[in-house]
Amino acid sequence: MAPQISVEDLSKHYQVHEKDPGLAGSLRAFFARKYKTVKAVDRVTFNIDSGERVGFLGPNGAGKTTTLKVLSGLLYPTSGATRVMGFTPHKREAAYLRRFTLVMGQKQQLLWDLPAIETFLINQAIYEISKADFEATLKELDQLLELGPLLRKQVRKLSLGERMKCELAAALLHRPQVLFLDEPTIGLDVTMQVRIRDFVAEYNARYGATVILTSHYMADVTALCSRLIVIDKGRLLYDGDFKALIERMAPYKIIKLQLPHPLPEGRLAAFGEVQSSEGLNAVLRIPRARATETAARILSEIEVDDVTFEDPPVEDIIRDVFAGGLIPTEKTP
Amino acid sequence: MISLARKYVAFGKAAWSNMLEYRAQILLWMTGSLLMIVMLMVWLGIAADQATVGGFSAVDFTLYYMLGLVVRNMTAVWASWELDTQIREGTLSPQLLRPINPIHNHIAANWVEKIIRLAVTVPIAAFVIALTPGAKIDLSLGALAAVAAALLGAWAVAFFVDYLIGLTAFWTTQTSAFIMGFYGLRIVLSGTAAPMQLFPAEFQAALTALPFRYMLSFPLEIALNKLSPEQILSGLLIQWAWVAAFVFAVAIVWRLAIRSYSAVGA
Amino acid sequence: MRYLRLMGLFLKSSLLVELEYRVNFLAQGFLGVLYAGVSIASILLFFSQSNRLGGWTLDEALIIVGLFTIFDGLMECIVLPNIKRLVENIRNGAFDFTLLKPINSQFLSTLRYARLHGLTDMAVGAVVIITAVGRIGYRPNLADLFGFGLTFGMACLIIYSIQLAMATTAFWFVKVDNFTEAFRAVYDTARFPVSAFRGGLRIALTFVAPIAFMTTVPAQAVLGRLDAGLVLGSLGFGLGLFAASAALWRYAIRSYSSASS
Repeated sequence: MAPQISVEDLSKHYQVHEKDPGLAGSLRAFFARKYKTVKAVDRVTFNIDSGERVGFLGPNGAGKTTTLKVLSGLLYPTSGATRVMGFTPHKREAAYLRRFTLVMGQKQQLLWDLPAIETFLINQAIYEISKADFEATLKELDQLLELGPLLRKQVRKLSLGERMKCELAAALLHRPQVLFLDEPTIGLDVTMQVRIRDFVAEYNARYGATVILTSHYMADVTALCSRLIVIDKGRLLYDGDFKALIERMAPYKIIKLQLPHPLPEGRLAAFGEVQSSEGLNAVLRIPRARATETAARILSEIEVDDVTFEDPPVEDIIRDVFAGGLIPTEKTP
Repeated sequence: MISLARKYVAFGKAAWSNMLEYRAQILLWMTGSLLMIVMLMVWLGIAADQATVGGFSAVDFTLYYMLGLVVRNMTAVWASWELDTQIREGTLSPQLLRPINPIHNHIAANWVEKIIRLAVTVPIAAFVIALTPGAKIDLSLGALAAVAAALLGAWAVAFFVDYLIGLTAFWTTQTSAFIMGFYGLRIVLSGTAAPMQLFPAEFQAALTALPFRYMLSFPLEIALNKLSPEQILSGLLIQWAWVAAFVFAVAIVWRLAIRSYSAVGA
Repeated sequence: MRYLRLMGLFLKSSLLVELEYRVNFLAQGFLGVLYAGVSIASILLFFSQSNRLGGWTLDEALIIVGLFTIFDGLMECIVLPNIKRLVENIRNGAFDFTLLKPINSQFLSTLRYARLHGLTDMAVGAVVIITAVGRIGYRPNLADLFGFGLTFGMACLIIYSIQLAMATTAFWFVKVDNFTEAFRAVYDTARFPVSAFRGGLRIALTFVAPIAFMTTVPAQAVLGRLDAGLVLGSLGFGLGLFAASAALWRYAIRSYSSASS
């Protein structure tokens, strides 16, 4: 069976105009604008199967949003082929538009001055959702998101988190099979981030919908996505299993020590690389293969109050990937 | 004084490059002036059938509306729109922290915008007047000085009234309605729809007293030799009295506004 | 059918928004009346100096003022609010949501919002027309009324199309809020019969910017002075401009999708 989403050799270039600073610069720009080609997405290839949850990672301007916009048909690709559920996105056929959704954390479709339910009703008519389906879906979304009284309050009076819940509901009323989520948790506090995350996981489990998520918050991606696609400067850096990435990019473990009394300088360095040492707390970086052996040595050779073993923080790993620790792209099965 | 001038230069430069950035908008701003030309055309149509219309010949109308085109652009003010937006969206707050009253920024921006406005309208007016047989401006030195004073006064009345209306945004969300209402009255009462002399006699006293005439018509009347020296003098007195009144009102309202603005902590 | 239902929903939500801002509703309604007064006052100023304006009597000219006021209200009511939102949405990116909906994007962008206070202008305009026609003493027959309906409908289409075309430029220029003012400036000529202008301007206002077909021609229809040429011109401009502006819209959407980031 063909994958639900296939992207082959996708490139999207666009032109931006540049302006030199100052009076002369703006005068020059007034008469003749200079243009520069930006490769937002550069020959990217990947496939996604139905029901997968995929995280898109990359720094600002990496091409994540552009890729999502191409997939949702908002942008024409410069070259390459994209197919989603058998459709060519940029043709924007109504049948296709009815089957996916795009949620943009920084943009909103809800009517500012009216309760969210009014936007829902309009979406009902636009997507031609039958009354029975509409009510059933709304009831389920209400359960999952605990919308309750929020639906009757003017959107402008909702908090950011409450508004995002309603945005999600508005975007899911037509029961899309594919969800493109672009920074859905941006600006939300931690509790609300967790709520949204749980909801997406639940929605995916319940309806088997495919989820592609971009986020600045690593925790969103680690909690939701088993598969990771990393892009930077428009290029695909990694596509594959999340755990495998960690093992490959972080061939070491972190050992945190709490000491009963200070040790002479250089004593800890005998075990491995000392990342930090402040008073009675120390952090060591030990190659993964030697981690167990080294831990045993530490425990036998010096006095410690407490020891913990950890994988390095995901943020650090990703930073390493972007810093040039380029991994050869691994094709997923 | 010198430091203020320096600030004006800085404000002006910023406004200039901001304006060039939005090149399409500049021309669109000015299309409002086309109303002057529309009115001129209609009056010329009427003047074609009669030798003079209420003392105005076709040449007079041409002079009146072409000079009016320039004066209208000299007295065009958008400060109230910006003030309204800044107050509603809270972007005024950082400006309040600066050791200078934001009004200076608005004045500087307004004068910079004038450079472009005049660069477009003065050649048009000069061209049309030059092509109109019998149209000439013949003024004594004293009358010229009066025109200059009346022009500056016209700008000042227009600017400070507009600013005063803009300041209402501290208390109401309906500022744009006030601006539009004022603008509507201005079309009729300042001499855009018709020169003041063509209004029925029973309105003349009110028109002379109200501030509208002094934003457009008054300098034109002097330039067209329609006023006696006494009328010029009393006109200048009334005009500058309005300027003083509006400057005073702006100062008071600004102080009240800042007090209530900081109290709310918006 | 779905589109009609949607129009109903759009109207309802617009009414709800309007009720949220009652003071605004009143203020804007008052402004509408004030501006109708400005138009009437300008006309009266002309007639204080002459008893004919381009061959039209005061009462006949008032029909034109009434039509001018109605279109003013119509723009205030439907055209301007949608265009304002459209420009805003293009600027902040929310326009993407419009494109994602399985529905005609031009319909959704131009008939989505209504500001119902524009109805006051329309009411005032209607009163002015009825009063003026009553004073003239000419009783329009059925054919006149039909001609009026047709030319009036075409006038609406012309206004819609021109404004749509101007709004469409927002896809290329960032800051075009003031383009409505450009249209206003030309539209201001519609408060006078087109015959009040002489020579080239009259021709321009008839054939280049079809101002004549907005107010003068429907007013002629009420007065029983319509001829086949005027009807054809009206139909030609109405349908032609609509087709042209819709084509421009489609072109803009295509280039939006291939150019934006």
